[in-house]
Amino acid sequence: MRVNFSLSNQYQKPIRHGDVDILPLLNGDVIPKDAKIQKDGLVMHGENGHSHTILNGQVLIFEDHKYIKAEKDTYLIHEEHNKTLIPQGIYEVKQEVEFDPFTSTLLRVRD
Amino acid sequence: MADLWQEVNQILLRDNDKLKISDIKDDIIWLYLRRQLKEPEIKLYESPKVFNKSINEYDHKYGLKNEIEFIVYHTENNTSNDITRYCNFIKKGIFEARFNDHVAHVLMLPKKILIDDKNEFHSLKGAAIQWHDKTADKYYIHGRRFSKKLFFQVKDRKLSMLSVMKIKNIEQRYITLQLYGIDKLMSELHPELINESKKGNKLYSYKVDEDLTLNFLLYSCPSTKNTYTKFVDPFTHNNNADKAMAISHNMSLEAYLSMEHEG
Repeated sequence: MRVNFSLSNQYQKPIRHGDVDILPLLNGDVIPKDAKIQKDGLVMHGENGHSHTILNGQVLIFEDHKYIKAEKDTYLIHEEHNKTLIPQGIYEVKQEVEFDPFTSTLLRVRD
Repeated sequence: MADLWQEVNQILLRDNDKLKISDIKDDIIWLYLRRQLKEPEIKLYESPKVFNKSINEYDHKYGLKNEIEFIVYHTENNTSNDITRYCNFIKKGIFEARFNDHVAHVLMLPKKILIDDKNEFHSLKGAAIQWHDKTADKYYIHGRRFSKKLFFQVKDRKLSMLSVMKIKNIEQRYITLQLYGIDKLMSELHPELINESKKGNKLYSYKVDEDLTLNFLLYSCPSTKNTYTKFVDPFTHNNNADKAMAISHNMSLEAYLSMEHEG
């Protein structure tokens, strides 16, 4: 399936869904052409079995990076968090990080 | 608070009287014949440990290729009767099954499962999922899984608040903090409040010793209202709780304050 990797009406603001950050691609950044669609719509899966998943949009993966291409009425869903609208646009997915003061490193939040 | 946390809403006990091994075996044979395969050897297990060991041995002997998937819901080959019988088969007391050319490995239901009022695995007295041989008992507090060692440290309140703050998994940390109480965090550590924002983020400082001062945030999830803590880098937040929060969410302070969609 071919993907349209850019959108003209890019939403400009970040979205937070629990420990998942949905950051708009700005300043001409695009989803890499070789990114593959993840069919199950899984955005992030936690150690406790709960998942962040999208409805009506596409999740794409390229190397260690994950992206979302949101169409009209794309939502993020999760067993414990509110259903959250992702306005039309393209985004990179990041995970919340926390500082480990004992090693002075940033770690992805484990949940 | 303590009573609430002790509460187990429901105990699901395996009903051995209703467990009909012959029916389960009949259904497995039906599944194989339906795929025009020979009747398999049927192995029933009560222990997840033995079940997994047996599967690993089988894979090692025959390879991974001959696993059989009987019901594929999106194909047109299954009649509604097939689906119904398959669903009923699963409900007869099977926890997990693995079907191969020659052998059907079937793990039976645990002895006991304890859940809270949200149907999450939960018990503060012992394992929330209990197996007959106890080798694979699983420990949960309100749906969050704990190792056996950490579970008993938490439930018996053996951890200092600093140790609670050091729990690596943020959900385990959250649950433990709720169990111990935010008040205990404050009374035991006496952290200094550096900054509190309109968004409700609180930035604290706690001096462990002359060489180590910890900065941490106390904040609520916009959806669940659960209160979490996390350490933050003391050299990046400029004594601003929102900036510390923004950094942990991979964005600038301006972007964090501009957010319209938080869940």
